[in-house]
Amino acid sequence: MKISRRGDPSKDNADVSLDAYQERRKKIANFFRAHRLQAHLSLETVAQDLGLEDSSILLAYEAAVDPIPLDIIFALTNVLNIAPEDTMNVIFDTHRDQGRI
Amino acid sequence: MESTQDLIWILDSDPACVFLYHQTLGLQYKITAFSSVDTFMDALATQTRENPRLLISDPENITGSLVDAFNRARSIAGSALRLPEFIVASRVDDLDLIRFYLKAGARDYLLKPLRPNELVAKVERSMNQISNREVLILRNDLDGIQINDLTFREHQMLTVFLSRPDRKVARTELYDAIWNKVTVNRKTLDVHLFNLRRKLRPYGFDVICEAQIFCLQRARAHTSAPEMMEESDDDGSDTMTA
Repeated sequence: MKISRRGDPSKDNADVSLDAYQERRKKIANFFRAHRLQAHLSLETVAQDLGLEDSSILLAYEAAVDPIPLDIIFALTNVLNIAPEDTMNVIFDTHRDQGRI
Repeated sequence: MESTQDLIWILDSDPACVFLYHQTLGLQYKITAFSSVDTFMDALATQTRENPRLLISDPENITGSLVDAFNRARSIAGSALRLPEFIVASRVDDLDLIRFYLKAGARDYLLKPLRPNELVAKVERSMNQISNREVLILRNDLDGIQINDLTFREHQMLTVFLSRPDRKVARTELYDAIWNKVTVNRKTLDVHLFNLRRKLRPYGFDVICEAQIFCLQRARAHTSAPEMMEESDDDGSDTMTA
């Protein structure tokens, strides 16, 4: 099955397989989850710092159920004190793995 | 909690005028009056914690010349004296004099007798302009290191951190200092902060977040990224034990 760059499986101009897309999403989600756990922060605390209404939204991001929006990626990097270059590397690496860049 | 009232100094020897200033501005601002330029300059030099934001002066009613005193203070190399912005209030309706004071840096020229409403409105406008301008005086020297390639917002952000003795700023304070009364999405700050951190780290500095308080400090030694975790079925709300 093919999906578009915007994540809409109904589009025909797809160039990424769904498996690869989900794999990339999981890798980014795991990266932030691992950093949160390393910082000993609960889902609720981080969700509050991010201004999310509910920690279940963050849980969905970390479980790779929902893709993490770019603004949340920036906010997570700041809140979890992750080196910006690490975040950029993970995102670039996942895209590089998929042959996107 | 510390009072957030701004300080306005009055340089006027006429008790009736000083009374009027207290009556019209006293509720919003902390007022202190002086009758001569020398006592005012002495007070300014010994003032360590609270600097006046604005000075209202009547050149006809005081002993000494304010403009001369300001020029002398500015000419002293390395002087740490922070001169306040000033408004001239005078009975003299003379075009050349008005031009002279405005050219000398006065924010406004008010004609006496003062009308209270006009005074309040013009002082409020001046205070707003001053507070906006304070953020615009950008700094990019961090412990003697020049930080280059910063955008305007990143510059502002760095300036806010540097203006604090402990270099700690709460998220809400950062919003207020940079965007003042303009409503922006909270993520806007995160994007600018992300980029500022990215540019500071090569210089050995970083902005660390602890419970919604951002602190500009020396960057911690770069640790390896935590091991990526395999997919698990738990709800993720637990925290890793040491």
